[in-house]
Amino acid sequence: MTFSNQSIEINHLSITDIVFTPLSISYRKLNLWLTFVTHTIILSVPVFLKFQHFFDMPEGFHQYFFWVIAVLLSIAVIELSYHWFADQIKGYALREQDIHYRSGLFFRKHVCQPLLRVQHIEIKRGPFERKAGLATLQVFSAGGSMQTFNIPGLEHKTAIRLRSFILGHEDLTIDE
Amino acid sequence: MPNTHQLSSISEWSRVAPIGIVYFLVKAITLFVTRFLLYLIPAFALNFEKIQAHTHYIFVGSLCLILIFATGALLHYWFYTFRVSGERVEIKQGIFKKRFLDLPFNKIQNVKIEEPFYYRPFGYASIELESAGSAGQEAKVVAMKLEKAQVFKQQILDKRTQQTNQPLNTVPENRETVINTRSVMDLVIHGITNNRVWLILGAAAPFYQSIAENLGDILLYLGMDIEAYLNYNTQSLGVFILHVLSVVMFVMLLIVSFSVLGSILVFYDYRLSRQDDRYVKRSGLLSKQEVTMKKSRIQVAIQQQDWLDLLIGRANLQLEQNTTGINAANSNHDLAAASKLIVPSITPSQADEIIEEVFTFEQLNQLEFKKVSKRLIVRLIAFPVLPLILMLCTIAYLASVNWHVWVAIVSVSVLLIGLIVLRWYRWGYHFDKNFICIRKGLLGKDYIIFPKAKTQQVAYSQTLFMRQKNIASIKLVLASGAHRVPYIEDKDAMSMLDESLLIVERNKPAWM
Repeated sequence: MTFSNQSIEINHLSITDIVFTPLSISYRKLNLWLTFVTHTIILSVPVFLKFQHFFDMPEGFHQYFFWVIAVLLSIAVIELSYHWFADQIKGYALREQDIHYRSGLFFRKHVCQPLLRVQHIEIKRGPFERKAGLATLQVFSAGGSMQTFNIPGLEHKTAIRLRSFILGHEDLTIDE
Repeated sequence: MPNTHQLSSISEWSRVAPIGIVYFLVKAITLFVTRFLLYLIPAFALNFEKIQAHTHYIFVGSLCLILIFATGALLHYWFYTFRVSGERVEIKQGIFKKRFLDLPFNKIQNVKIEEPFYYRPFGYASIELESAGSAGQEAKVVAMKLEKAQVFKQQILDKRTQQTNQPLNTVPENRETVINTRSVMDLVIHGITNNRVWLILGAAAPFYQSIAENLGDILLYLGMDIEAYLNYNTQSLGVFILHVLSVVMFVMLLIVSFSVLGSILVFYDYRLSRQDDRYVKRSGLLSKQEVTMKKSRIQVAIQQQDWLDLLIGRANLQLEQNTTGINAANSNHDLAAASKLIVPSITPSQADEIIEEVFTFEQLNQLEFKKVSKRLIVRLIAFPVLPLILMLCTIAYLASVNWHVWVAIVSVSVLLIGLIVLRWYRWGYHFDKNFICIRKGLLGKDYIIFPKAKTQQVAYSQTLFMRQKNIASIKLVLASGAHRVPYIEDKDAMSMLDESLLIVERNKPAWM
């Protein structure tokens, strides 16, 4: 058998030239929503304490209230903008012989998992992921649980298709 | 197969030799002491007077305990049966909680033969079977005549060999070639250069409390009044410092001698030999151990040198295999773990010979290593050293300390930066068509050598700053763990990863 390792778009072996498929749009939407909701809840605590009349807050609280809100708000804004930009960059690529995942806004990371070395695959869906129709694909190799290859934010159907492609790969049966 | 008829006797469900009772007894007592008795020592110490008044209760209680343990061991022995039929080992065990284990030969990764000291006078051994992915599950035939155990091991290993269609040899002992042995002198060196003191400390743990409490008395008995010796009020500063130093020296000497003792206990009569396609390691003073590792399963060779090793020109060589199924936290510190073959305190040239034998790899000392980028120094100073120093300075400034503290802060900073530069200096990498070799360390120096074909997964990472300077970090995951090389040239990183992927995906080499 001749060896080939074609990406769908180009015929080159180097991992530099891989074209990535972005994650589902709902993934970014879900992340933005979750971040928004979490931070609203966090912010509402000091706001509630400030304006309630049930018990007296110490003087220091009122003095630093503005700063607390400012810090919490900026964390929220940073996190929201991080998801806005970073989630667009995340993507995966499936080639004949391996699967790739790219992520990171400032710390770019690119993980490659040869299909030959796959031990087993799991599809994980949390309650929010289920609601959004998303799934996380986990590919396990013998490198141990610390080194699990993860692709989050896949549409459930895509995750299932990827899983069956990998499990149906000819190489998975030849290893000992 | 001249030996199979000996094993046909265990194709029916049978008990192990009666000496197995001792095994269960020792196991139960060890568990009792380490999990239970240890925590009761403070209670005993507090109520020492009361206990002394009621020694007869203690006596009856101990007698009862011994009786319970003996009955337990007997029952465990009684309910432990095993058989070897066809190509599988089956073990039934447990008094109340019954366990059944069915292990096909081809799933067995390692065979470890252990001769605990209480088995040795009678020529018995226990056989531990390690399978991939069975963390915490004990597959152990607890007692078998040593010769029978050897035949048994051979049979398991030969079955595996047959499956991979390699020629089958029948005489087990003749085809063995010894690769390395360690003399007692080597082990003494090993004990000095490597802290093996915990080997002893672990065994002595139950007695810590009483040792600590009676240390003063013991020393007094030996003619040394430690309290007077270290009394700050009655002597000049110089003499006091001298005394403290001598106590420290004495403790160090004690630790080193314990370390040497530990090293000899574990590695006595060390013999590494090759038998066809596998390596066999035998060692042990009181309890003997024999670990067999298949050559093709070795993922990585690591040559470790602490600063003391560097000074006297010795190194430890470690051959590691798949650790996925095995509790990694345990196996890391377990010298006896079958997932690792350690050759203690050999010379670097001997290490070279073994690595060459295992991987057909050229000599380490002739390799040219490429250095990693100097920007690693900048990066390590920026984080975590600079924030740490700034924090110290702020605290010192706010507390308006005197100049001694500032001198201390400056010296710590200089020391940290020096260490970072040394760390950078140690990093190096070399790669050829089939192998990747990484050099790293701080005061010591480690060489990590592995074939590209064993790669499980690769990763490439780069920050925006690194991208501008064409620098990248890489990670190569093996079945024995991940190895990273930071801040190397972009094109080297790419070619290492691309070539590793290519070898794995095109040649489809097995990693097991």
